[in-house]
Amino acid sequence: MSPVEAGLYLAYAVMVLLPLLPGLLELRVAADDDPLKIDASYARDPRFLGKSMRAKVEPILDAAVGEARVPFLNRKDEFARVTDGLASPDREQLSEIVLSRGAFRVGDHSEMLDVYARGEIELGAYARLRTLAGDRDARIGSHAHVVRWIDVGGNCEIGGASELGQSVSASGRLEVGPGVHFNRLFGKPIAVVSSARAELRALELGPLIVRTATARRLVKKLVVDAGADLEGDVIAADEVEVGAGAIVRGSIKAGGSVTLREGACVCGNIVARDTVTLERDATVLGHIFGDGDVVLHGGALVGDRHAPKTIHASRNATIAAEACIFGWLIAERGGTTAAAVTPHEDARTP
Amino acid sequence: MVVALNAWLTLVVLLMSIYTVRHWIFTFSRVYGKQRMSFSDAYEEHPPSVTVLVPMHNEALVAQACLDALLASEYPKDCLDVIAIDDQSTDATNEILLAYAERHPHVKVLTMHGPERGKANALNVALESVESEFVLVFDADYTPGRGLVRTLINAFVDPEIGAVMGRVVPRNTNRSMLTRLLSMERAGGYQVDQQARYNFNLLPQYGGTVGGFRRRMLAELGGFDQHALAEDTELTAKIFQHGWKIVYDNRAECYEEVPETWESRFKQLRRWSRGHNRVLWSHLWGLVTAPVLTLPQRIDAGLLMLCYAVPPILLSGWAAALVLFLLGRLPYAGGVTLAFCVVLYNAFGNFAPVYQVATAEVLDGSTTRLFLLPYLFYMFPFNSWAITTGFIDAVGDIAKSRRGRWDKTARVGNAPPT
Repeated sequence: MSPVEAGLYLAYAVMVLLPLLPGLLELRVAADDDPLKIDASYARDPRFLGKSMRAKVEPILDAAVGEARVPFLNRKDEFARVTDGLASPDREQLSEIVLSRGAFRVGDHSEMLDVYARGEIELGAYARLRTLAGDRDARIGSHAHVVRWIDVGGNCEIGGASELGQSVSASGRLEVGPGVHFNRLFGKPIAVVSSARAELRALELGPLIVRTATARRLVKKLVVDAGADLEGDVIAADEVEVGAGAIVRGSIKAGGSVTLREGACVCGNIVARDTVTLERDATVLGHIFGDGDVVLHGGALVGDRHAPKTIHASRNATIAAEACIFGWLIAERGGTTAAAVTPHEDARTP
Repeated sequence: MVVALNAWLTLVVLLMSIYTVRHWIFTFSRVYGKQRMSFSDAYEEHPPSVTVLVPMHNEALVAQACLDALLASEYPKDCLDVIAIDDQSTDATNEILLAYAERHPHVKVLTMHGPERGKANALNVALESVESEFVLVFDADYTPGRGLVRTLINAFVDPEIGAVMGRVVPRNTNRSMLTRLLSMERAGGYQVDQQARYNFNLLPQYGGTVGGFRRRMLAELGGFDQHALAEDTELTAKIFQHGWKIVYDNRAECYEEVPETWESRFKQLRRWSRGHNRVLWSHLWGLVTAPVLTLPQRIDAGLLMLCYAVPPILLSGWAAALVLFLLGRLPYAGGVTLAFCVVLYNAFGNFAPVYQVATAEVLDGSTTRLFLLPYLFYMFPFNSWAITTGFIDAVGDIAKSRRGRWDKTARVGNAPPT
């Protein structure tokens, strides 16, 4: 073997082994050998944000004596004001985080950061806040602007034309006015303006919930005739339309859109690759997962008082006045409440 | 002969190119594409009844951690039954299980007797006593988190879904070079491969553990083939042929224990390959001609079924290339063919190609472990040999109509990370 050949072989060996060198260092002194972190304690909860905040502020509230100004967690620029209760006039600007053992009331055009109150909460119109957590009922005036989220331990009422940030959750009733923009809402029920008619229907229909149907039909496209009664799950390659007053005792999966005409009822879930529309007084007792928009007309009902469910819209959600949802409403690209579904929104439905 | 060898080599290169492109597409989809989520947002205060089956054979080292994790689940206890199946253990497994059953009324023990042994048979026997519609299966070395049962069950919101599969995460990564490399392979396989197949509405696979199915569907499909060595792959094939779908939920993560010795890993791969290739024989044609599947799904079905046949095919391609090289009859330019083979060898690497593994590790937030990527190239011959051995076993099984024996992976008993 000539020296040139030997050199070439050596160069080849070095090139083959070179990529292994950094790994050799990592094997010798392991810097990144821990298993992927899984949070084993994690369990999905629509009220997670509020519960998490409570767990952090309760010790601060318990430790502070009377009225006090204390450091807030590890935030350098922000302090918390601990109080037994707070009532402020209009146009108040609270530059500190408020932790109240009692009620919290502010007038119109007030601005605040984070607020936690063990008592009742009342905010006037045009309130601007970052975070709000309360253990009892809360009433928020119209045109409110929430930067992050709200979580309430009782009932919550929010005036119209408000911007609701990432999430609003209430352990009780969540009533929102028209013209409200939201991303996630949770309540039992979520009512737009008034939902008495739909709630009354929930009492009658609740027992019809179907968990697993015994039959399954695979179809291309399905139109259920008005007033028909269909038993079993439906798997459709294209759209599904349930006629006025018809009832489907099972779940629906559609490759296209799903439309429930006036007074129609689905006792199971709806999963659609496109828009899901519930016309006036239509009912879905299970979950709704739509890859497109979800549109609920007046009097539409989703879920049941004893079995709250989820509406998940991968795009937008439009909820008209008098619609009622027991459970969780998630609109990935934002949702709106409306006095009525406009022709523009209806045009998006087939 | 030269013509035949040339044709074979061209076919092998073509097949490898198809796999390479497939995995490029998967990787790009995972990085730039829209990620299809499962149904983990489904909120249920009164979820449906679920039975969790945990088949065990000589699992005394890990049984306790698995049952403790299941008992810590936030799923309502009145809706959750756990059936621990002792499949003829000869160690202390049975005593451990009975002690749990005594303390916890919703834990039941099924002790298997008789000549039949193996996971598929154990599951079939246990399913006879199951009443709930939804069934989850965990291997004994798995430690599910508090919310995992609910996350998996949420998939059945969709009436088209017959089975659900979660993500497997090794917990003993820091034990040796082998466990670290296996951890990377797993990341590539789940974080990118399974998620991408789910994104494209192709065929995500039911993996037999950290997953579940509808009991009614399994009954329709005739239960598990009790002689199958890869009962999960067999079920996957049957599910898609009969118009059901599988959900892959990347957020349903669960720790497992990966083999810590090369011998144990070799046995595991050999068993997987043997079982998978038997399913290839019995289900490939049915899948690629299934009228309920779309064309992309049929293509993916073929590639999925063939994946454990690729190493022997690739080895035969190399042999053909070598013979042609020695005869001086390599097609195209000899060096180009060789380089092409090397590139494809590296690209396909360890069933989760290196760029796919690297992407998965970046998505998982890994840092210096990426330096270990080149080691996967050198692990490939080991994997290829183990899989080829399993392939030969499968060919023997099919030719002689023999069943094959269940060869259990040895456990070490590492505690789950806290």
